[in-house]
Amino acid sequence: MNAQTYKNLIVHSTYEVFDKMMAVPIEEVDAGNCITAGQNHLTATIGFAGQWDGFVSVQCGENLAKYLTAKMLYADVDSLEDEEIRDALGEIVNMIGGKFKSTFAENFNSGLEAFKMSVPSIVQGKNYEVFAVGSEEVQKMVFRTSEDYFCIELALKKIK
Amino acid sequence: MDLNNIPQAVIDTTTKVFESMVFMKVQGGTVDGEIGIKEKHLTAMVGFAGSYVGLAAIHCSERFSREIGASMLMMDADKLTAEDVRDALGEIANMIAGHFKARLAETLKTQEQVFEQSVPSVISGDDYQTFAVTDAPRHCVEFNCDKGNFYVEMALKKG
Repeated sequence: MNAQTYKNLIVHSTYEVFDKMMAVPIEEVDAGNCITAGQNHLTATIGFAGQWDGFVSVQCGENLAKYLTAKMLYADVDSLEDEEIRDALGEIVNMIGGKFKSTFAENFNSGLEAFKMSVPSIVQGKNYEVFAVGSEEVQKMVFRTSEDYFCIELALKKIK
Repeated sequence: MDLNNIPQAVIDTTTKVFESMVFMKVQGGTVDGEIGIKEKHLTAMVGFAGSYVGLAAIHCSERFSREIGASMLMMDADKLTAEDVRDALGEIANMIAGHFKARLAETLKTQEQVFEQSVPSVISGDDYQTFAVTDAPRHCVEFNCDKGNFYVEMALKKG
């Protein structure tokens, strides 16, 4: 398997979670601004650890995070608490990571668990950047919803 | 290691890592206070996955992170690139998590891996907060030394 295969799997997992599980149609695009300078945005990351190491993250502006949370909780956007928004984005990255893990296992087919997933972490703020340490390559994908763009980043490398 | 006193384990492991890798003597201070860094800062986080789950994070100013990197790499602080500084802080988070894992395994009297560590991620900026999406108890310890202060967080629960 190579980087393009991992990318295809994570794109497939992202479509599964957004289109099928959350009923939010999405389209992968070549480029788009996931965040607007000076505005609140969130990054939800889940780490992979085991025979393979890495992470997947979802990054979007606060408005899209609120829209997705409202869809998940069947709630009004205006009634959402900050913690609900963080939890929802954490759950989204958890579902994408879980879907990726199961499709990865089908393709990897070693009979062993390729990696375990850590608890999701969230970064929230107006001015920050997130970097992976020691990852050979981070692949970035941009998706469009009816509301706004969001980005998915994936890093994966075999260590054992 | 007392599983009911995670902050003490954080103090023990962090002081050890700083002594052996950064050649700095640091002292544990306030437990479970606010993270009060008002300037540009960095956070390095390592996730835990396995029979225990959680995360370890270290938060410190960009200025102090540079001191850590300089001391680890035995270079002048102003010669370090931003990537050198991030890598150094990521490595510190990794080592704190590794020492903590060893202490936890010792306490549980197990030869098994109590958790695997994910690759560190490092956040850099001047306006952000970090959160763990878990109901695991999360503890934060402030550390002080003559070059500044920093904070180490640890969240842990059975997986």
